[in-house]
Amino acid sequence: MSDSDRFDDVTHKLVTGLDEIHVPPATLRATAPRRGFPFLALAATALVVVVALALGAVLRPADNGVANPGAVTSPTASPAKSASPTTTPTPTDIHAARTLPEATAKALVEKTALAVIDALKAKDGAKLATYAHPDKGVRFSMYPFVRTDTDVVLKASDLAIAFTDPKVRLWGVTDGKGDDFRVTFADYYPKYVYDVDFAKAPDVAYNRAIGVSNSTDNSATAYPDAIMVEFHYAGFDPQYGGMDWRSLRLFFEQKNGTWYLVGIVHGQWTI
Amino acid sequence: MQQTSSPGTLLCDTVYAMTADTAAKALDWERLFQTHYRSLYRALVGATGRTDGVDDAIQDAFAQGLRGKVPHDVRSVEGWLFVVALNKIKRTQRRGMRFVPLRRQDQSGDAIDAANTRVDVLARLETLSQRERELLVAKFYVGLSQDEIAKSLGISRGTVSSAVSRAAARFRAGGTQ
Repeated sequence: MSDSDRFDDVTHKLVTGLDEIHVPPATLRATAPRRGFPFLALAATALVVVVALALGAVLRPADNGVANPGAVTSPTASPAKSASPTTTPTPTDIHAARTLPEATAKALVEKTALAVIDALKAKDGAKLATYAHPDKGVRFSMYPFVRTDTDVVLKASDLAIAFTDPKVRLWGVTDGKGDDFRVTFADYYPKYVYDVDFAKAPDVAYNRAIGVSNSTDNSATAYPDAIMVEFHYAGFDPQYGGMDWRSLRLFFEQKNGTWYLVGIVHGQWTI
Repeated sequence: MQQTSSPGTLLCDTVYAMTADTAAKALDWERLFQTHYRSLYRALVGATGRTDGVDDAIQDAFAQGLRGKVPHDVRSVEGWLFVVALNKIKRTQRRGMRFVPLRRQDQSGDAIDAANTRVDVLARLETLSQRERELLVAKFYVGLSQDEIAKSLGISRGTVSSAVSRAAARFRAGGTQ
């Protein structure tokens, strides 16, 4: 029996019911964009060139490897200090960090990423909080598709008490069954953060995805300015032929010369 | 290029088959608006359970279309408009607007039966979760494919099928399951 047969009654009821909804009159307000004058196009081109040059200047030190060792420092070093107007200006807010070559990305965030993994393994919320982005916090995603509209975001203050916080949150929808996953952080953690020992993961990649599932990976659009670090196990039990793979992806964005954690994405085989 | 839809048909019954050729040509957005505004409005009200902000969201979706933001491989422009507008409403909701349950709207004596049908469907939808509403409307009213739903709602294809079945069962039971 096809879907349309099985759900004929639902379709009929929905269509007839919704078609009875009163719709107020409306007219299209937007208009097609008008072509600008040639000098506007020239100005826009010039602007793009200037931005590209500026971006190149920002990225150049990173492309040269560890030319910016300050950027690798742990956020435990006071961000306020690096932002102080009396200190030497440092490159800030690297854009399009996701496009950095793997070696460069590794040089920039490896130390921080390993420190975050250690904090996760130790369930050390206070330490984890020191790596959280001061403005954006840390978004938690159950699967590689990052839901920027609904995924839970925890600020540093939330993370500091996360492991003992009794607050129940809706983290998303489970794969397969489609159930709402509504638990405390302490219960979320062993299932969608640290379900295997990622600190000992045999494969670690920077700005390169290893685990691929049926869930669309939209991390490059969700975190275009972040470096992605993936801790990956290819599988555990040979009888599953690799279907029991696991990944934990950490995303780091730079602010005032310091790399902060902005996202934690769990990856596993999905239906 | 077919550009009509009648009451009782799915939004995506009018498939535009956006080949490279047709995509390259400018769509008649004014006519698309006139043809599909009502269906889009109803689909969004059904999916979100609210009427405020729906018009703005549709207008924004059309504005994106006018700016040439329609992906070339899109199967149905209406389906794309629905997803864009739905995401817009959800973003607005997230910024602090609370869910506003729908109430019966204006009705005359002649329209009692129709109003009852509408209220029954809306009442059933109100008993479902936001995601279930979106799934049912996207699948059975807008006519999005399983892949399109998976992509737009950010869930895997396998999950779509089981979630739709469960939502449909709850809808049939009036949310009592």
